[in-house]
Amino acid sequence: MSTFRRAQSQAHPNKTNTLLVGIIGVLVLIVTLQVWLLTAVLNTALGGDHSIVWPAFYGSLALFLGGAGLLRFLPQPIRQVLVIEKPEAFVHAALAWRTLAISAVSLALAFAVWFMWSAISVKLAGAGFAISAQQRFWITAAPVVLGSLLRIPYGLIVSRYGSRNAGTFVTLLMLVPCIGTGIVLRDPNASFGTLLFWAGLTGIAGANFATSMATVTLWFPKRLQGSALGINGLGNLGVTIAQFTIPVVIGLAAFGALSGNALPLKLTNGTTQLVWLSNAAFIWIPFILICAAALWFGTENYPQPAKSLASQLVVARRAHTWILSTLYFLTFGAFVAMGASLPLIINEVFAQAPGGPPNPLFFSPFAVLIATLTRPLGGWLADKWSAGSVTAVSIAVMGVCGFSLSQFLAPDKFTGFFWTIMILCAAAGLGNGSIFKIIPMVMGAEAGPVIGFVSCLGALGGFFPPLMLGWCMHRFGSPAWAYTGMALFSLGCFALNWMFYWRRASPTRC
Amino acid sequence: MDEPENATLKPRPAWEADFPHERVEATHVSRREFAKFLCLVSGGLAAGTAFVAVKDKLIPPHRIKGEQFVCRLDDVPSGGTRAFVVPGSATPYILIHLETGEWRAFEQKCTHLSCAVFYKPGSDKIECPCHNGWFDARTGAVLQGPPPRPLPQLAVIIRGADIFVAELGSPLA
Repeated sequence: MSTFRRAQSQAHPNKTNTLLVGIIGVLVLIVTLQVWLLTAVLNTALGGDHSIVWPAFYGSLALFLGGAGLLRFLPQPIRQVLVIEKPEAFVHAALAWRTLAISAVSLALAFAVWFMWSAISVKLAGAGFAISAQQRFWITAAPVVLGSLLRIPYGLIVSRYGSRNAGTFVTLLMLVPCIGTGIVLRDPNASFGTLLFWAGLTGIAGANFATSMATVTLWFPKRLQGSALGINGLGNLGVTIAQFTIPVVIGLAAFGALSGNALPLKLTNGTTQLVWLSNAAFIWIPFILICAAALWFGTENYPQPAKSLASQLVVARRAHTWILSTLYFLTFGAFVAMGASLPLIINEVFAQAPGGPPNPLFFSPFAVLIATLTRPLGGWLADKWSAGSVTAVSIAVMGVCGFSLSQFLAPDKFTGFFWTIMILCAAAGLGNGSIFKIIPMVMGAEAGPVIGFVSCLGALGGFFPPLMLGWCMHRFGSPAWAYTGMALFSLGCFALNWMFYWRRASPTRC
Repeated sequence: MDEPENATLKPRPAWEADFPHERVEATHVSRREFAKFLCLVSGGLAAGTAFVAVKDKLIPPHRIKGEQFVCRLDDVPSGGTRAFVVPGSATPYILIHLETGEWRAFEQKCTHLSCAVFYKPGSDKIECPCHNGWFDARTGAVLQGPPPRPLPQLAVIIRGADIFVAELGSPLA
């Protein structure tokens, strides 16, 4: 509640009349302008001229937003009571920040391990493994299953066994897929089943996200939760680390005899290169040991009585768990889907682009990168203003962008398409940060297990939208329906967020 | 000690705010509510503009496939008309045999409010009787009245004694 409006209602109660009439007058003007825009657009669009429809839409939207903003200046009939909040104590500050730093680095390592198979899979066929394109897709997708589903138990164990014990354990557990994958990759005669098994098992690394986030949320007071969880979310950069490191390390005989014999890799230019594919997995082992040691010696178990696993599962019955999961499904799923589907869209829509089709391998990593980088910003803004309003802005921008995407579905409009996707992903990153601020604000001590559920559904959210997009291309011949569907889903999420976390009267406003 | 009279009244339940007993209360709209309603209308108009913007991406406009047979030359006398539809679409069309011997085909929906339009024989004009709108029977251009756009036209192709229509500007026409 701003001081301006409190002063306005209290010092000048008899000005309410003028204010109300003024606001209603401006609103009538806005509606009139919008009616004019709509009829003008209808006339030109039905006549086959689409040049002004998008500018008119943005104009109409701006007018609506202006009108909605004006409603905030309606005089309040009830005078607000002044509440002074005391800042929470932050007793373990030094330890908390150290835990955050170690946790973020370990999380980046976990993400790197989680995504190692997507970097390995592109080299498999060239190095002599008998893998078809379809099988390669399954090997890339397999880690998602365990990486998302295991997040639920991984979120529970923190409050049961202590944050230090849980964090160290799940980090050390990553040794299993790393060693197993390394051994399997020494032999190009390995069957598809074996490869798929180890790719699937690598998924356990993705679940470390829940443990890591649940640990960090314990240590920080509510006013810093957004920033802390956002910074920890930078661990997502591990995906990028894996993409850049693995192609380099497989060319080095780093582990000597352990790596086995080098495999000849056929390059596209016809030459062959000696590679040690198992290095892609072995490279992480020393880092896992370092991170596990840092977690064990550098952090402590959060001082609180242990809660049983079953007693924590009760969060599945809380409505907020599922509301937050829906919101996170949108914000997290959107940017993963945008990055993952870019090659498909480029292939289908922009293949005829002037100057040749854009290179998908160059453009798709940006989607994940920008969303990861704006995540801490979203958390910080949520701390500074309010999580509900940051989430609202982020979802609204995503909706408008998703809606605008369909105007760029022509071969010569790739620049507009790409920048709209970038804005969408930046907004999605902001939303990820601020939604993770809402979790501890609303759920309090139950934040850990809720993080497990929410992030599980978020990770699945990255898996399904590309499938839906593919189905849309197949069924309607254009992704416009999928993008419009996403925009409508954001509208629904916007309403949910307004209802529970943004509305002034909501008991869970934050 | 006498209690004040209104102290014994029960507090009114919350539902009474939405469903009051008194007609005056039920029909009363506060200025706050009115302002919010205006904002809702504004949102609806923005959504409507959005729909117009995205509509042709979602639902591509229907186009006639190739040449469609309408009727034979001697079915329509000079100055006569014939209404027809093409397969796969419900849009009504009108075929006009002008007095000069030329043939024209238009959509039979007025561009104002979709009333059916008619050729007025001998005048070279198409009339919309609903609001006194007039179109040029050769070009479809608006001559007078409320219609905002010309009538959409089809190309007429004559092959022997048969009349076909096709999309205007398509390579067939």
